[in-house]
Amino acid sequence: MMFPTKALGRDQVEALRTMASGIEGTPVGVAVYDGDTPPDERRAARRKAHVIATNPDMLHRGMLPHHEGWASVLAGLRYVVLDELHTYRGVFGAHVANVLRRLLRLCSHYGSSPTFVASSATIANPDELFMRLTGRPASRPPELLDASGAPSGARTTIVLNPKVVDPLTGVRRDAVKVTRAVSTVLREAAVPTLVFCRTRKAVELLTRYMQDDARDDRRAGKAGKGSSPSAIRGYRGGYLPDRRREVESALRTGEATLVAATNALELGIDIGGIDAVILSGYPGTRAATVQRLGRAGRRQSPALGVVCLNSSPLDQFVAADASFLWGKPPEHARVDPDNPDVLLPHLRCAAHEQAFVGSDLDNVWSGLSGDDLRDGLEYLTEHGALVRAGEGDTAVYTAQGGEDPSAGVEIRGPIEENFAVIDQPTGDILAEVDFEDAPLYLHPGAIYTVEGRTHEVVDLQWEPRKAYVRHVEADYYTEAISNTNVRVIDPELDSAESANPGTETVQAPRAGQGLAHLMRQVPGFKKIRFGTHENIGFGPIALPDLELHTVAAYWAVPDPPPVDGEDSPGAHDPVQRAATALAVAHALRHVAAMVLMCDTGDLGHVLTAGHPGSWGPVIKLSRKPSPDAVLHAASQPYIVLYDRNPGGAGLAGAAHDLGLSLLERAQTVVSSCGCEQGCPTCMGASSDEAWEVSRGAVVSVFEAMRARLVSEQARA
Amino acid sequence: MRLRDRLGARGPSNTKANTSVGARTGGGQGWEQTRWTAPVETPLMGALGPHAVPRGMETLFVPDAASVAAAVRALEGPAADPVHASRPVVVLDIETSGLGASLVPYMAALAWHERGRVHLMQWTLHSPGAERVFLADVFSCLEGVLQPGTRLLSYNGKSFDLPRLRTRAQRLALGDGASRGTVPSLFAAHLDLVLATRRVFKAALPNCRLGTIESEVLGHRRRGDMSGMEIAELWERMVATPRLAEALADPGADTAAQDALDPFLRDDLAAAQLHNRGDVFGLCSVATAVAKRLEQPASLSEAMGAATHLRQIDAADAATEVLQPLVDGSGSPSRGRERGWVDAALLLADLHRTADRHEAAAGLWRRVCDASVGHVRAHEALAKHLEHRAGRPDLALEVAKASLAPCSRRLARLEKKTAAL
Repeated sequence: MMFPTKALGRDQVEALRTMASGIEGTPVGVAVYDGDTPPDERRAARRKAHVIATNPDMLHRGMLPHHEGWASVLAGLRYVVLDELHTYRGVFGAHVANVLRRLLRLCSHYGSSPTFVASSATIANPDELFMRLTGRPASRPPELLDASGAPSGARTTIVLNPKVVDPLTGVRRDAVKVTRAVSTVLREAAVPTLVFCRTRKAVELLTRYMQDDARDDRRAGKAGKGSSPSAIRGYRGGYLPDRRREVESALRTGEATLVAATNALELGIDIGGIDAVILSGYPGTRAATVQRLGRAGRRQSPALGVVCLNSSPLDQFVAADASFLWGKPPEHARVDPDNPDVLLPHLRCAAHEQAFVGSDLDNVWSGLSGDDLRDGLEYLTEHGALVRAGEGDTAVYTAQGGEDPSAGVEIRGPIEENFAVIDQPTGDILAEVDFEDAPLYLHPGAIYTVEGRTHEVVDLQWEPRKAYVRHVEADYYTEAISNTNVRVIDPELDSAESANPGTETVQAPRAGQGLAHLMRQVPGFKKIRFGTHENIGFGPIALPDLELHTVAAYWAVPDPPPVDGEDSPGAHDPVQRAATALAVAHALRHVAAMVLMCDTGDLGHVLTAGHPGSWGPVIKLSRKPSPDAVLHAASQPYIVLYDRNPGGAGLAGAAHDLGLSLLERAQTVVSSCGCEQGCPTCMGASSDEAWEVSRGAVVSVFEAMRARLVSEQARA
Repeated sequence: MRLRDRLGARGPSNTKANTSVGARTGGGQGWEQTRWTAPVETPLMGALGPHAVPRGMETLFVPDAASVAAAVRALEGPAADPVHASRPVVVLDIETSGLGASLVPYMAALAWHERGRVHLMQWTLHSPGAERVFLADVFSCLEGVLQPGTRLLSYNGKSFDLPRLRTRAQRLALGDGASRGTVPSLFAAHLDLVLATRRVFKAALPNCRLGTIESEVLGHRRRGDMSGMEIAELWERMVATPRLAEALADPGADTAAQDALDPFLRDDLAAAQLHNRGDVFGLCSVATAVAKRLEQPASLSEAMGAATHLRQIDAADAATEVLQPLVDGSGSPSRGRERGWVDAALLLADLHRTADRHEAAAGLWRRVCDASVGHVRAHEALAKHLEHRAGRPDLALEVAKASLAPCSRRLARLEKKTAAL
């Protein structure tokens, strides 16, 4: 049984063991094989277990490279169960698909051919995803069970659009405050409720607010059952496993009745019966919305869902037509196992596990014909990653012995060591923080909250990855400010420049691809008062910049062509121009993800300006653009589409190679979207009325980009 | 004339007329093969020169085929298959890079008897890419020298060398056709000396590493030998050296590859090869020495170990023969207090009991009870004997009561039986 995370595997194993203990006759052994399994339990798992719960990472690095030790397990493998299938998409999914191909190859080596069983959250294409992941041929589609046989009661969903507090800017009441108010109503009615937040910060804020409200009620003597301090909890990634287990069990036993959580609770961890779910902000996809709302409801009792929207364009789009949530099918999960950047490293791992033999290349790697596989192996041989003995049918491709190649293949992208948050003076570890988030949440002076309790960071030790905090009663929280700069190093661009030395003005190319270098700086932080959210101070931060080296494609954004000799409206307004360019970038990214069959989260897009080879600030619309950004936007803006995985997975380059067809498809998406004047789906954040971007302007930018590409191709 | 050239001119003149010293006989890109051959029963260092075996093994020689065959028979016991008379064993030893599934066997040596001489073939891998051809050559040589009745002889080969080689053969898809991945000679009859050695010397020696056995049993104390750790690390250094294969292929050539070579690498590689040869050349002597100790143990604890091993290989009579004189000859009260004697006597008694010599067994238990009053196992065994075989519950009760940890159920039963008398 494969689970996407350790926590989920452990949770399900508990339930399985309980089930297994009820089976008469032969005892059923249920074992966990993950990174935390001690050696003697690993041996027992190999020898005695009937069911082994593991994760793709352990399969990739623990089991397959050491398959001799698992020979009896692999020889007797009957079923492979993939839980939470929908999580295996995009680049991660492509890695998992290749790990499964390696598994199947070894199974056939040991003489078994297991049946796959998978479960998935609501997505548009579970059967297609299943076939791509397991490599099952299209001629033998899986049996799809998509109706729930479980009894369910009535389900009511309320979509709440907060009232406008500033008619001039259209800013609405903060979703966090609205969520807080809704939670109070449900708490006082003693309805067990789960509050899903979009960020970890929001979990902490809401946990604190809900605890404050309950305390006030207790003091006022009108506290109900759900107002005890232990009834209100927070739950998010970064909490230590013990704390998470404790909250899960408090939910199951009914001790905790109001829990604020991130998507960490979205997956199938058993939390018992919940009657209501509040979403603080639209989760971003219809699939996630359905999944989270589905957490409420047990047996035949009625369930309540409340979606509290905020002022962002995407949320306001949902507000304008709430049927958007149910009217259309949920999102597709896409995966491309044959992406060479993913496939080739796994072929090398597979050759290390068991040599490939020239006469036996057909049907050993799903999705690849014998000739394709030979080409892949030859490529690896030419580049020194494999060794070939013999020719043609007698060829044997082996990995060079020595280091295990799987050690160098990161299926979830490179992972930096976490920061530990250490309480002073007790020395207890309070939580852990991802490397990338450390400058944002653990800078000296930051207020770090755990289940509403505030701590001030007194010392951040970068290399040892430790942050020392002490408990303080702060009435504010902190928010770090971050700026990103980007440049693209295009080898063709460089050679073009060196080919014409001495030319004073070098015309920057219109589009290209190369290596991208993104650098995030965190210059300072704001102090924000709890409750009112007013800004009460500012402090500097001096921490290392975070860098991302990856691959990217870039396109210069031309001015929309004049219509009837007149410039189109807003053509000379830098902010409006930037907003238009961002709409183009948004469409390019989403269409590229669709065509390349990756997750939209595998790609990122930014807008910058100037020469692509020099550093430019990332131009954002989320708040008032900085004067610097406005200045830059006045020059030629550039769209940079990059792979979010450090080092890249070849996606941006492939997007650029699509050339005209990518531009055409993206233009079609914008021009033929069913919305009235551009919506978050087709134009992203730029669809917000505040930017005054017309759909016509976006389409005409696409027209100009296409025309330029056509003329460049004609010249070439 | 340059020193290197002069040293190069020196080599062959040292060899005896019909002895090829470490002749490079083959190899290919990325690996090499060297062959050594010497007369049996003659010190190897004398026959092959100072670089044949590690220092400290000056007197090491390889016993003749007949002695080795006899040792194999003694070590395997009466039930084993017949041993080939003129080629009783092929000695096998490999050196690897560290542990784990991804280790590389980068050095291997085989030794066997042939027409009154011993032959040793040694392979060294220089570049990881050549592993498959390198191993294919080792296995084809092994297949060629194995005869019906020949044993693979190793030290810890059962749990180390052979499983590793089988894994590599499997992963590298060595061989052809249906048997691809499986090398039959790796499944040939195998005598792993570590098993007998551990049983015989477990109590007598601090550990049973090959070096310890060589120095304590054969009297060869290696000097300047490489450790297993250094040998594993050596492979890492070799892999990290650019154009190593090129430099090693032609040591005389004045190329850039030579310049890139770590100055100590060549010496260390030679030291690892020396270590590997020492292991392989020495193993026949270890076999004859351990076999001899099975018959003539040097101490009571060795006798215990020998008897344990003999019993394991279905040679219970031989085990009794080994123990009897030692137990009988040292039955004085002072020796009786020695733990070694008590254990030996109990083992001997057990051998008697399983051979239905119950009186002899009872006599030994009685002596143990006298020598070590209250000894739980002896009192229990004697009480059982008196109760069930001799039909004397009264005497059994006395013996059982005197135990340091009497079994209450047995006492109750014996009291009942005694009262009924």
